[in-house]
Amino acid sequence: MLRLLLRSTVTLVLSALGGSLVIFLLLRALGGDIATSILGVSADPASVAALGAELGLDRPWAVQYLDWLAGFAQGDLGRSYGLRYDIAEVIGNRIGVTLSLAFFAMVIAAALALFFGSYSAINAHRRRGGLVSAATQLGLAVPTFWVGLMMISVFSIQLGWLPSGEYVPWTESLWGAVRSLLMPVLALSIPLTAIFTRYVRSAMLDVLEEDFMRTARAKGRTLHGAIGVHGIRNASISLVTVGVMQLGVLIAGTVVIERVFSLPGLGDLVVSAIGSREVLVVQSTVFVILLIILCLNFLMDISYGLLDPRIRDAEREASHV
Amino acid sequence: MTLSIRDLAIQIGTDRVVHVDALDVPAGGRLGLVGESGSGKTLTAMSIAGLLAPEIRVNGSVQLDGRELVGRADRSMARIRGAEIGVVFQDPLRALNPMMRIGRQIAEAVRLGNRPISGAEIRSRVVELVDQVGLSGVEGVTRRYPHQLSGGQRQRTLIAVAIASRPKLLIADEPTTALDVTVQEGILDLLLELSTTRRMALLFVSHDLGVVRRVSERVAVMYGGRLVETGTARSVLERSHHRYTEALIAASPWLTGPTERAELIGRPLDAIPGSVPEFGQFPEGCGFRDRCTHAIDRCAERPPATTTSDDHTFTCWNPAHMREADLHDIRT
Repeated sequence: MLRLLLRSTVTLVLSALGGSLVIFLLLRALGGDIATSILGVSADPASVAALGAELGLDRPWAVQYLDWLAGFAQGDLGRSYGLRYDIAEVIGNRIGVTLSLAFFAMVIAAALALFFGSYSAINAHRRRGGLVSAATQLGLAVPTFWVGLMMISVFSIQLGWLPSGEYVPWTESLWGAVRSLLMPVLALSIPLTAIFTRYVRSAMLDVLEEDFMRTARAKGRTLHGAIGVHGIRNASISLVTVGVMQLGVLIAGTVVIERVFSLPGLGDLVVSAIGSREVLVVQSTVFVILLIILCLNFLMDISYGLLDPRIRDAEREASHV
Repeated sequence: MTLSIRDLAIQIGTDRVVHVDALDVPAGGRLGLVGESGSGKTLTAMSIAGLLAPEIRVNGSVQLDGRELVGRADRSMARIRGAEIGVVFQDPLRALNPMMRIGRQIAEAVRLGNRPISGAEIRSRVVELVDQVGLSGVEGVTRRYPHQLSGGQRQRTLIAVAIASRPKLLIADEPTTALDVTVQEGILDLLLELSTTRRMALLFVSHDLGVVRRVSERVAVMYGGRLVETGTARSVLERSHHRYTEALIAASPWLTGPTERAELIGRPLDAIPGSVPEFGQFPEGCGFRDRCTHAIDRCAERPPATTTSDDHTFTCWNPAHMREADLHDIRT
């Protein structure tokens, strides 16, 4: 377990460093002069140069990169070029929205997928099993933003049940937060549920063939009892795997859904920052998103070891060599 | 009778793959069910415990202490098999949940098989079972996972699971096939001891005649989903009448004692020609006739069950070890 922990940590740090470099270079490679875009094309070259110097844009890239990284390590992300706001503070204010969206979408999708996936596997030879498969096909095909728009049109505009475009933080009102996050979370969880359900289904089909399921029944469990006690846990390993793979997709989905529902999250921040050429804001926010994904990856790596004793032992044995 | 089977028919899709006319195991009795893979012996054994996949249809009658088991709903069948039927499976590594500690897996069987039962009783019963199957010497065995045990230890664990409810009937499906020969003996001794001391009926399923001979009082031989010969272990294995049983014995390197051992060394084994057909593709009449070296024209008709004076039943038109006069009786 210690070895697994150590290896996962090293992976985390190296990926973060590599990722930061890629983000930094990509944004520089896009070109365009930041000072010009802030002051406008008609500004005189002298003031453009002066602003560039003030923002530190005249320094070599390597210095800019290391300066950014060092600041990041201390929690100081600098100020935005245009509006001069504290980037760290803004990200801090917005990160909760994105994390809430991603977390609840993930949890809801996992729970639904365990149910539907198992149901579909148990009824694999019947029509209702096929129905679930057809539904997952649909869930994969429907774009998240469209689902979001449909929800707004039905539940906010026509029925007036749920708010859209106003975000209530958790700290203010629990009920308000639930109401404002319900639709975006559901919209996000639809494609995730569809993907997860497929994985759970195939994992559960394998588990159903396992001898230990028959042993469980021989002990006196019904088929459903055996699935509930022995099947779900063994099939959930596959859910962890696919969960890791879908993290990037999920975060990308939150960017879109935050725009659709006008939620003040990180995705919304990135999109508006790109519009106003706030390179430093984009750079830091994308890096924060990357860190979130890497940290979750790290947690899921560790949870393999917690879920499967065989992996735990393999790690222990390897560390004795 | 602890176990009594009549006209048991197992159907997969449109194929009737098993048809057992009659099979009985008395309380404390030990029956060996023998056959090649594909003979239907495991299907038969699993159908008794209601452990076949739901899409496999079972008809006829299986009675456990006079209670009908066929046609029960899953919940009712689960309760009966949990409390009264124990099953030991072939591959103990796969039959145990890889992600659950041994202690919990045994405790689960104790709890389900002895309802109602308190937590303290479960714990003491697990300790008792671990001791009974000879695992108490393994340090911290209940805290281990299946992959941390040896093959023999895993099979002992599975036996503990199977006897956790003090069942009336223990079904052992090839319990030693996946084990090293050196470990087999210990497992067979344990099964024999448990069956004798607790008057637990034992249905022992195996393709290994040597093992079956050692464990069983009576032997039933299956081929093509049907019983072809039943009788005491001694008469079936030493004076087999059915040509399939005879061929099976000729193909087995089984030995009974030092003197026979000397005789049999160097004896070539006679493989049975051909291979077991797929289910549903056995010939009409006697299912063995296309592989039988003694087949006669009559074998195209289904042979009737013949019972000799020593309670030995077989279905063969041209049996071995028979006097001419008896042969005449069979054919008319």
